[in-house]
Amino acid sequence: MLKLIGACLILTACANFGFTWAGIYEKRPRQIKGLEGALQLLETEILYGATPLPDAMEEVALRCDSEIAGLFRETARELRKMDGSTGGEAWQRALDEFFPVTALNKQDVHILRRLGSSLGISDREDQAKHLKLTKSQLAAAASQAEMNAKKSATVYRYLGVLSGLLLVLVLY
Amino acid sequence: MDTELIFQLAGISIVITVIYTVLKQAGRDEFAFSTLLLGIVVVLAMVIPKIADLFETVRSVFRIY
Repeated sequence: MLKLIGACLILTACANFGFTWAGIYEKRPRQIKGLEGALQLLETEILYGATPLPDAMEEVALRCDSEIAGLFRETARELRKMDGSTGGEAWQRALDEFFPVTALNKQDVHILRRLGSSLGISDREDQAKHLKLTKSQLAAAASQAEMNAKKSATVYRYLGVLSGLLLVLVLY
Repeated sequence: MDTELIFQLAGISIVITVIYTVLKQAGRDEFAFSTLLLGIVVVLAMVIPKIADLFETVRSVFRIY
């Protein structure tokens, strides 16, 4: 009887593992699309509202997807600290803190890091151009991520359940 | 007389075959192959002690060598 409960626990744990991993793969395209939308908001704020960077970041954090609002909130906080660091450095720090809790991978973070080096050091039109470049790169990454997700998500789910079954049989 | 071993081996082979097919279909051929090897090693590890027992029993029954 106890053996049966243990076997069920192992099976559930492995299946959960597989499902969670598949979930991460599916979250990534959604988060990349959310990032695109947030960058569009930032571009609008900077180009048409001429809002200073900390306020613009906070505005975007309030209006974008909750999953990635944290990044902009962190950047706004770092900028308001006024400890002499540039906009790019504040962005890097916020990115380093925020990136582990997202489903984004190194490629996406690299795209975002490149944006950081051009934040706040040029005029509005130039900022808008850099933001457009980042958005198009993110769009390409998003379509690739969607393809990846469709391929891998079901595979990881199956793999999770099957390896649970395997462990149960081996340890029986 | 350990009849459960047969069912265990059958179950493991079926699961390994399904994993192999799923991985191959998903394109990860090397991973599928290494899972297959892992399964073979596990099955061998379960079967070899029984074969050793068999030889021991035969030896003690017939007392030939």
